[in-house]
Amino acid sequence: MQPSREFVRLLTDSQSRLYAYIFALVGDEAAVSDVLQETNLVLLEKCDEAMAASSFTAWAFGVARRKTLVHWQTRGRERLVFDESLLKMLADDGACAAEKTAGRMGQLKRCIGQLPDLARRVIDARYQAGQTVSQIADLIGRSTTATSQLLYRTRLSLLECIQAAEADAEEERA
Amino acid sequence: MTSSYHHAELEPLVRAMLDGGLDETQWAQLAYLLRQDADARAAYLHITTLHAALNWQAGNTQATWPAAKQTDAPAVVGRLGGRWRWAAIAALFVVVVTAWFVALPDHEATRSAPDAQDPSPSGYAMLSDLSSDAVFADDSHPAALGGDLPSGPLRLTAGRAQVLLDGGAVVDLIGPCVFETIGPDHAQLTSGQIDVYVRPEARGFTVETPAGVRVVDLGTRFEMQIDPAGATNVFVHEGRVQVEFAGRHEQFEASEAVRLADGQWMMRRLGTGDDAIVEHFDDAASRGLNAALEDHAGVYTFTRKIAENTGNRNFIRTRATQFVTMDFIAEVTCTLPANSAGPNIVFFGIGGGVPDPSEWDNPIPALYFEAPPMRIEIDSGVDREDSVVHQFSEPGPGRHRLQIRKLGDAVTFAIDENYQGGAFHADQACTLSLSKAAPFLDSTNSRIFFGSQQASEPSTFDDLSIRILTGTSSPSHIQQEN
Repeated sequence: MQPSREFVRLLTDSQSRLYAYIFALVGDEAAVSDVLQETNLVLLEKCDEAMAASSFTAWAFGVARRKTLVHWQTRGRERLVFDESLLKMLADDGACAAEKTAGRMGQLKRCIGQLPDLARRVIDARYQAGQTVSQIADLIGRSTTATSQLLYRTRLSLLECIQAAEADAEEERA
Repeated sequence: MTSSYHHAELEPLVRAMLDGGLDETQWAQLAYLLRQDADARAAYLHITTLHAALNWQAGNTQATWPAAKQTDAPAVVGRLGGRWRWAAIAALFVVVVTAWFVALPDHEATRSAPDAQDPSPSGYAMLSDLSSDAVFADDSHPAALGGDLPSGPLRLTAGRAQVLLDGGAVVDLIGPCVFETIGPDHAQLTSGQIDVYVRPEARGFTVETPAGVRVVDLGTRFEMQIDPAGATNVFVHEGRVQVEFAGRHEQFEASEAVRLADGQWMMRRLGTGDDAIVEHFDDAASRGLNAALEDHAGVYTFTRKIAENTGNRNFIRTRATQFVTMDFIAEVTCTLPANSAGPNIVFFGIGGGVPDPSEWDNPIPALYFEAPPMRIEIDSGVDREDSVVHQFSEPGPGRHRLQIRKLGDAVTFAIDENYQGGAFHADQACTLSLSKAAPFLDSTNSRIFFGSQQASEPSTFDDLSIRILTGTSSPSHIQQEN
């Protein structure tokens, strides 16, 4: 069992999409890297099967979904809030949303560049500097709640911006 | 203008999830909302995906890629539970990828036939985890981690493996163990020990043994073992199970146990507290030890709310001497320092609890844990050398909870490695016939004891618990109904 260069490329390219997909199903940053590592381990060990699959990404998402289910079933065994039926509901649409992630990186960068100054500072502080909401609140002189709301609405603005850019691109192609 | 991604009920939950963390109630609210509301699901997926993309773009989440050339993939697969497991998996990922990178051929490989099947479970279960020391008999080695289990028995000779059945049961196999899945919610235990968790909605999972025992899960966590004498022992930790054997069936609840052999049922229930010996050492320095215990040579101090030896090797032991005649679960947490050597050696066992001056002051006569290295030893008396009965995989320095459990003639030594508190979950276990392993123990010399000796960086003990399993003629809920 020896991976081809193409397998390694597919595995590398899939990382951001797998990360996004697993995050949507796990909802916990501390756990998502664990599940991603477990998923990668299975993908590596079954690289022959992965390459034989009609869609590498679909296969990889399938493995990630199964590892996510194991995560929920073995995590804090007394509760299972994201059970198999909910994961099933989220999985197909989540795969679709995550599939778009890689293609959206360029648009995302442009949209961040178009944000008003304050919103840009908040996004940079949260993601580039890795600051907490209360740290950001101190930084911009607002309450924690107001900062959390601003951060959330900035995320929605970025989604609107990406959607508009995709619509424009679609129009140009047509 | 309101965003098309806005969802009023979702917003506070997702804000908490992304920027602070959800509490139990919020997790339940989020799950409920996502189940009921397609718009909430769509918005949730868009926002979480964006958050992941922002994190990824900022470089906060890069996967671990090879950093150095290494050609020998290690035997390490990952430890169950806690940070050790993830560290090991990450390490394996790095090393295996590196090994494969190094071994790559110069030519481009071609993709396989495009009409091959996408993966889907072909068996009844998948292998969901392995401990670093897991070893299988050659002809029963399962598919790779994450793969479907092949048909036929899984023979785990050492270590621990976890199997996720398609019906929803999660089964931890503690080697040596022979286990076979024979349906999505049906399995057979031929020998060894399993720890089973079945969430309430997946109830009905059934385990059978060759001796004709059938255990039907009713939404619970339970342990099941076939001991060296061939008896089947079932311990219920949560919920309820139904046990069927020799033309009879009974239900058992949490804290109840049953031993089944030769057509006989031996039922036990954990004592309610009066007969338990519990010592947390939190105020032992001021009020003295629990009256049921004695510091044999008066060498222990409890000023740090733990038990640590300030003198020569000696033991804290129960005043009661007849544990060989009782069924019980005894546990203690020990902390082993990084630089373990002779003085740091810890002992926890059943026996006399006195030091043998002719042999390093080891406990005699006794059957006991000794670490490091972690093992079970036996010593029948003065001037008789001790001997190793079982060697565990080395858990290394750290805080480990040790358990000795006796049910009938079966005595199980188990370790919960890197213990974080809460209920005991065995990472390793070894079950012996007490009468065969330690025939010299009787009602005059079978105390529960633990101990170490003074050291610059000492091993210490905490949270001793000895709970008695009392005999009962029927399970508790039957008695309550009467």
